[in-house]
Amino acid sequence: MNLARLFRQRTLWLLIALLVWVTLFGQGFWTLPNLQNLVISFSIEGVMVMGMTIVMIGGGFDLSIGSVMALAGVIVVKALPLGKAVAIVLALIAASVVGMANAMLIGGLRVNPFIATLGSMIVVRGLVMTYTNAQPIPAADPTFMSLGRATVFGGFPLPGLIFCVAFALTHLLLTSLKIGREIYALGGNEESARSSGIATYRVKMFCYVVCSFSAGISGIVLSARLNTGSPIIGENTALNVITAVLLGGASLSGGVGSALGSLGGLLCIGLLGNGLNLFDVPAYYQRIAQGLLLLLLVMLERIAHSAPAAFAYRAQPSLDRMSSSGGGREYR
Amino acid sequence: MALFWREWVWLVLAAMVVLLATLSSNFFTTSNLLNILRQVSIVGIVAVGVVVVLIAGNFDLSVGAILTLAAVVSVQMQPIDPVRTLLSILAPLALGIGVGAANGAIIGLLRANSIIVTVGMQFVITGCVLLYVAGQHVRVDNATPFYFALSGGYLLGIPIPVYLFMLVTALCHFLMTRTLFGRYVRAIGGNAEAARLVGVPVARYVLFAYVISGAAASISGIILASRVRNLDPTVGIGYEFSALTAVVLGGARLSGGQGNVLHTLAGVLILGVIANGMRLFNLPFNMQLLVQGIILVAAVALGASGRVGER
Repeated sequence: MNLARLFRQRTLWLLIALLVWVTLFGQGFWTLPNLQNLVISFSIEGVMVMGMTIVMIGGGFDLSIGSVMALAGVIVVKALPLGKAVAIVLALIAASVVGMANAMLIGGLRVNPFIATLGSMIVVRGLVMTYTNAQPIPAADPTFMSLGRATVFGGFPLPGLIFCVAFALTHLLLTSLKIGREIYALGGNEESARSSGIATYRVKMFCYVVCSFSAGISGIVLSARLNTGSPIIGENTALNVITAVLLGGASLSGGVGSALGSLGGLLCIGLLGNGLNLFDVPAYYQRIAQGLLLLLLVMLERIAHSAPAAFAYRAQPSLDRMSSSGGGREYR
Repeated sequence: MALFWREWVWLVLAAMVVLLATLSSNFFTTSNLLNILRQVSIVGIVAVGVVVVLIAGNFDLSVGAILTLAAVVSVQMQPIDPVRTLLSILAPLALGIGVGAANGAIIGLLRANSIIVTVGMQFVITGCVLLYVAGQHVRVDNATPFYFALSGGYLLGIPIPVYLFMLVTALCHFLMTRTLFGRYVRAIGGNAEAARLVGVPVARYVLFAYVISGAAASISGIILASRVRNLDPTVGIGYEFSALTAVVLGGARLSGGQGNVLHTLAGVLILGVIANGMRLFNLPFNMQLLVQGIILVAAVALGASGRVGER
């Protein structure tokens, strides 16, 4: 990515503005405990942001990640007596199976991704609730906790490291691998992707399994942090994660977006929340601020879209393609 | 045969009623059936608003938040005398219409993506509500009998919320089938660009659709407030998804242009009958969630593979 293009990224400017804001006015932003908190707070959602970026570039959508988090978290805690490694593998398999089911509905039966994953969100949540009887399960193995609470390299939280790996892999996948090209092609125009020989069903399968897998990782890490398998975690997660991805330049109609952009979106939301925390602003304001950010973003995007070229910062295939206006593509 | 496919939701509903009536002697009783109707009226009114927006080709994911806002404001108006009772009905209604108009203005005028806008609106409203009540429960004691009757009253043996539900449904059905509004909304949902080219004021009618859905959600909020009167400020979470489930069961097309208010009514009733049946057999609430999700997935998968419920 060359420098000139980087400077046209609105996410980057927002990020710089936020950094200046918290540095100048936030008491104790640049302290180790606060930075550690910040890293932990966005790492767990961050892994899912990467998975969601892949799905959304491919023109999809996944509402079920919050429920998958809870599923993986509960399974890993329940299976701990079999050994940590086995428990983690079992949880990740369960998460991937949900992704496969999503892909079968969306790619195989051609159900609208929004409704398909809404259904799996409800079904998986129901399964988890029924299985645990809506009660949290305490973890039996005290060493399990370290997965969410340990630090490496003298103070860097382990969840942060997991996130860095997820980010690096996603970036590599989207920029340098064949499957990455195919995902962009699929999201850009499914029909032409198919006619140019891309196995679209297989690519969709890949996207949704990776996304669910990432939600599985997040669920395991969060359970480790809480030292509990809670059936109610992740209720608002999907919308938060999608906000970060959209903020990072992806669009609901697919074909655009990047790991780097989504990282920017994630950091913006993380910094905004952290900054408001430092000012002792009640948590409710954070929700309002996040909502306003989303509204402002979409409004600016549309105003720029309809304004003359001088004002348009980057001609993006815009957010409106899935909405009512502008000959939207047929969603089913 | 065409009629059969067009009205398949009603057949599913009838099949379920027959099944439950044979399985349980407690199901097909007047009191139980009225109970089902009363229980579905809150989510039903929301769903009827959502389907209007969906026919116009847009989503409204802010209805759960609007419902919460209306319920909380209604209780906070403390309906303990006639004037305050009037206020606790009008204020939430005005707010619901206002939020709907804001949604509609942003989406209609700027042609912004409806999912993003209404999710953003949902964040803003839930945040504002929590801030307004400082995260605490709100309650009203000694509400006027009139306010109480909005949810608990009966007229000719039928609960008042059922009348309200039927009234809103009939009104929306009339709007969608017999007026210019319905024609325009369908045209916009079918192809917004084509509608604009033939002279439909797209932005204005998208705005109207959102106003209807906002008003419907706030009516539900008022009924809920009247029933509970001791409200958790997160009470409305998830209503948008329940309503959407009913709408999809009713065969509305997600890309807009097609959908039917009466089929949505059937979808709402199916969900209500399922929930009731599971309660009659003492299945836990969590299991109900599971079954509801499976039915949603099955309905859309069936609809998508066989094109059932379209046209």
